[in-house]
Amino acid sequence: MRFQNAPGAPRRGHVGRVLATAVAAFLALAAGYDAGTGGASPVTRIARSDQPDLPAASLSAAEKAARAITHGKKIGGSVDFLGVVTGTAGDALLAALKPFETATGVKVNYEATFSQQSILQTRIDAGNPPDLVFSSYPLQLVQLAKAGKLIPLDGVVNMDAVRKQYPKPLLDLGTVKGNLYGFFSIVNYHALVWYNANKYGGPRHPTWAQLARWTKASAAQGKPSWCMGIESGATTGWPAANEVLDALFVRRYGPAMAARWEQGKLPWSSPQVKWAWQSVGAIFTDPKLVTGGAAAVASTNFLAAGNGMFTSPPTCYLLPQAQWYGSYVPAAVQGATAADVGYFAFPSITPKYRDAQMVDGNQVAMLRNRPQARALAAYMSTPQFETLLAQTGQFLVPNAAVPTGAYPTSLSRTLAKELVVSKATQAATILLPSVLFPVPVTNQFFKNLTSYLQNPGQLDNYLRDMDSVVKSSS
Amino acid sequence: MSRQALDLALGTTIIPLGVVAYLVASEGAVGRFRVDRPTLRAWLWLAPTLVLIGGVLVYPLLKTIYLSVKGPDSEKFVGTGNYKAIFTDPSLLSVLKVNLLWIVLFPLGAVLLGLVTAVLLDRVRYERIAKAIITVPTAISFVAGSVMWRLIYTYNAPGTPQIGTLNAFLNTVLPGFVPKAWLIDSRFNNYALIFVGVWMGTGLATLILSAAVKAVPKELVEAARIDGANEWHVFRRVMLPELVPALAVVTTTAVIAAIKVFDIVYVMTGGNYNTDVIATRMYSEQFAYQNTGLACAIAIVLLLAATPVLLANRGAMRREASA
Amino acid sequence: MSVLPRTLPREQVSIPRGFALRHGLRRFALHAVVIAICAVWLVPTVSLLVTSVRPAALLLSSGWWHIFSSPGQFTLSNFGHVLEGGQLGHSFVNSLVIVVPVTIATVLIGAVAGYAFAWMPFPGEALVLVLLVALLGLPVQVTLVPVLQMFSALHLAGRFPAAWIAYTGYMLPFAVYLMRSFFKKIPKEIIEAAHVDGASPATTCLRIAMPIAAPALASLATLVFVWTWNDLLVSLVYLGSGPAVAPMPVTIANLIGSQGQGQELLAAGAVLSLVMPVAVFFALQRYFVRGIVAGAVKG
Repeated sequence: MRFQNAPGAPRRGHVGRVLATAVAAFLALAAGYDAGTGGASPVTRIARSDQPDLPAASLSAAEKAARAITHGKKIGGSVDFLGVVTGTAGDALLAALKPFETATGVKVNYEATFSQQSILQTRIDAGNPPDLVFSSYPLQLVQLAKAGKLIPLDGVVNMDAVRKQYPKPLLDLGTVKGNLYGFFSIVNYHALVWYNANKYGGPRHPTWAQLARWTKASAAQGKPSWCMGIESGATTGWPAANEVLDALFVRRYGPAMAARWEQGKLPWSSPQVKWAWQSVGAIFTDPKLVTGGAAAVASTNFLAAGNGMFTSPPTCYLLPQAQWYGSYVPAAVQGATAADVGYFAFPSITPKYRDAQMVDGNQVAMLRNRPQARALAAYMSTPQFETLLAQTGQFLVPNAAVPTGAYPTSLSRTLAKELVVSKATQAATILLPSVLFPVPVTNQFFKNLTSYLQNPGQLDNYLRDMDSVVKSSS
Repeated sequence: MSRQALDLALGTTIIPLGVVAYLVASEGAVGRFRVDRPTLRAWLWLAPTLVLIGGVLVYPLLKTIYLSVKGPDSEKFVGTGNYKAIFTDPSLLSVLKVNLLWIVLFPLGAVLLGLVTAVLLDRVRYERIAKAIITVPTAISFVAGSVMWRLIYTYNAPGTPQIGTLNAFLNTVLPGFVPKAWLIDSRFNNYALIFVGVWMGTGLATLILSAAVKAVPKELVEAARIDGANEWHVFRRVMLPELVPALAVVTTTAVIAAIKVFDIVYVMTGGNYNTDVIATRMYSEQFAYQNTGLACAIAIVLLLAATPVLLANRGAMRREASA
Repeated sequence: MSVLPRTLPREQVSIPRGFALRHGLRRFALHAVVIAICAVWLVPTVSLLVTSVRPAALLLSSGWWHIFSSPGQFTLSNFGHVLEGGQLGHSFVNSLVIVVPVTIATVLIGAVAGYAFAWMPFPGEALVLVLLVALLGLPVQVTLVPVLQMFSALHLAGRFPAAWIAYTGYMLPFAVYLMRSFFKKIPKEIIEAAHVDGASPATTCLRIAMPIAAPALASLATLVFVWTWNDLLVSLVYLGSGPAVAPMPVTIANLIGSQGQGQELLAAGAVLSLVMPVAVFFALQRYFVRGIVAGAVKG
């Protein structure tokens, strides 16, 4: 018996042929694919075909601004840019970064991932940080700045222009020990109240008291006025927290008190915070005020929450949600067009806090002091870049020097005019409280709020639990 | 050629050549040294494995053990503090309870269904198609799986159009059925998630058990039938004993998977609503709460929980090999 | 497969009516159970396929089965969007570049080590085996930071060799374990016969044992291929999500916007990502079925 193949085993020649064919196929695929893209590597994504084209004038203005930053030189090289903006918005961001690449010759290697917070931490711990980060976690940046992992941007961006164009409270947030470590490039406005312009018959710029009267009258007629859905997988509860509870608190007690709450100096079991919870509970557990009552609120996905405004007849009339909802409706709700959608800023409770708009957003921060990184950070602070972002129709930008005409839809132009550009709101734009709690506190906030809406009688227990989480996370 | 194609070509050709070259070279090395040749040869053959595992698994394991006795910022020494917390903190204890549910129900479901399908499919003509249908879920990524199962478990308030497949189906079939929030309601959600796991894992069990069923000597089965045994007896007295080794392998693999379960829970509920398992809790302790010490202690507990099961499996394999 | 024993003499093959009825009922029950299981197993996959060809607006407002009552809903625009710009195609090749070398490396290195455990006894064998077995229970998450540190120091982070080394290392305990138990089943006579014929251990392993182990090797290759192809976390950490190296799971996960918009794109991307592992699974399935004890030589 000399080296015979054991019976039952595939013939060696057969296996070899299969393997060879497979390898050849792979190589052909790779080579053929290459020919299709002209051998471009790395691939820079092209803006989607259903997104507006960027006007040539803005593109060349941005290129000029980029050239000015590098004094006309093409410095070449590349930048590692880690961010959290994905999907269509990510493609739009890349389109706005293209003029920088063209003018300076620097390749922007943009990486986006939902897990940006943990990936950033992992890479820093492993000694492999990205050059630049586009972060939506302001507290993480503050921590990193205090730990000395971030490079100050004072000498990198045009500080005079930045101080004039960006809202002061947001800049203060990115400032640690007098140095600027991060600036907001994109913002999302929260706690706007959306309605169907054709069907909503209530007041269009009410105070909270006026709105409450209208919703009560509507309830008496058997028509629940509020829509709400807080289901969102792992983060269920955030719409009620971010768009209603936070807003109620800020409108009544103001930004200074909110800051104390965020820093843990105002306990969750205090009368102020308790009032906010109770107000949310009063509305969203009452089936006369919110469609479907607490059960529906807890289990309806937040994306579908407002669908009831566009059915015939409507099952609800008002949805508290962030600014993205306005552009989401025409794309995703059957039968709804952009003209059907209207909003008003969250109703005022205490008049002097009326203008305090809550945002979250993405901050640019630098981790490695390289010329390419500095150039990109400077470019992203310019009004020309911000104008491009506005023109993609995917973002609202906090830079007041961006003309409101840059936005492609009338809704976003209105949003920009009322929320970004006016001097009153520029001075009063604050960060959403939920974003400024430590992560464990925010997570528990969403969980407990969800549970509270199912068990309103247990409020004190939930508030006590929040205080203990605050203590253990500090 | 692009860099991609080059990497692919190099990767696919260098590695097989490298392994063969390594074996040849190690033969040469063995010939040269005046030591116990079989032992040296064995170690040389194991060397690539040990090097790779050493760097990617053993070194991190040692680091994990080291960090598990330190505090959240890895500075203070806390001894067994983290371990004590795991077994006394009520929230961590409930995590252990949920994982226990997985450890019992997931193998039960996957192995039982695998066995049933293996035996039944052997008797139908469309076996290949049916087996294909049952094993496809194994090839599906968790991202795709989560999309699928969200579509099935979606909840809509009663009276509104039911978009979730399960609710819509039960609504049509059972009068007076009230739609349930399968992923949020703590009465059902763990079972809902475990079923997703069973759906994904049964295919593998079916494949292995089907091969084992077909390997049962036909003469034994025929003899039992001639002796007048009914189907159930044939199965219990004749087939089952032959299947024990394969069953052992499948069961222990399923138990290990249940101990380590992460992706399904993480992607579908993030561990909320009382669905947190050991691995997801460890992940959030590490990355959300930055509590490295506790995360490492949880990992070690997970490892210690899995090891006895694996060793038991080894014992079963050894018995089978010598049978 | 007939229920009647084949060895009965023909005269005795007369089926009493009661028996035929019960037999018929049993067959019916058998088919009913099998078909029910297959139906339940198919539903999720079908729902994904259907969702990927429906427009975004309908995703959250009506169940996927409505496509059967209004076929006009069918659209390929989701696939069009997902394939625009060529990034997904590029990621497909990236996935191949990662998975194929990993599969080859894991199978070969694992088989060699498994053979050593099975047929080359050495002192300390039990200890190394226990270590290997214990490592099967180690969760991947704890290895992320230390291994990334190692890769950064070696300037491998963000490059394919990092993924090759990482995935192979993670899969090896399982591979060695599987191949060892399979190789042990090879009858001693075959190995000894080869030895008597003058074959070196390397030759015995490569030209005798490996072909016999083909079913196990194919099973292992399939599992390694599928698991590595579908993995997200490891690629995300060691390779990053940069478009040049991102494999398919990473690219697909990024199809969703920050508010969760784009579920229909995710569905389309997931369908495209399914093609390869399912194809590999079916191509190699016949080797699974060959049987774990296939081809045992008798005498």
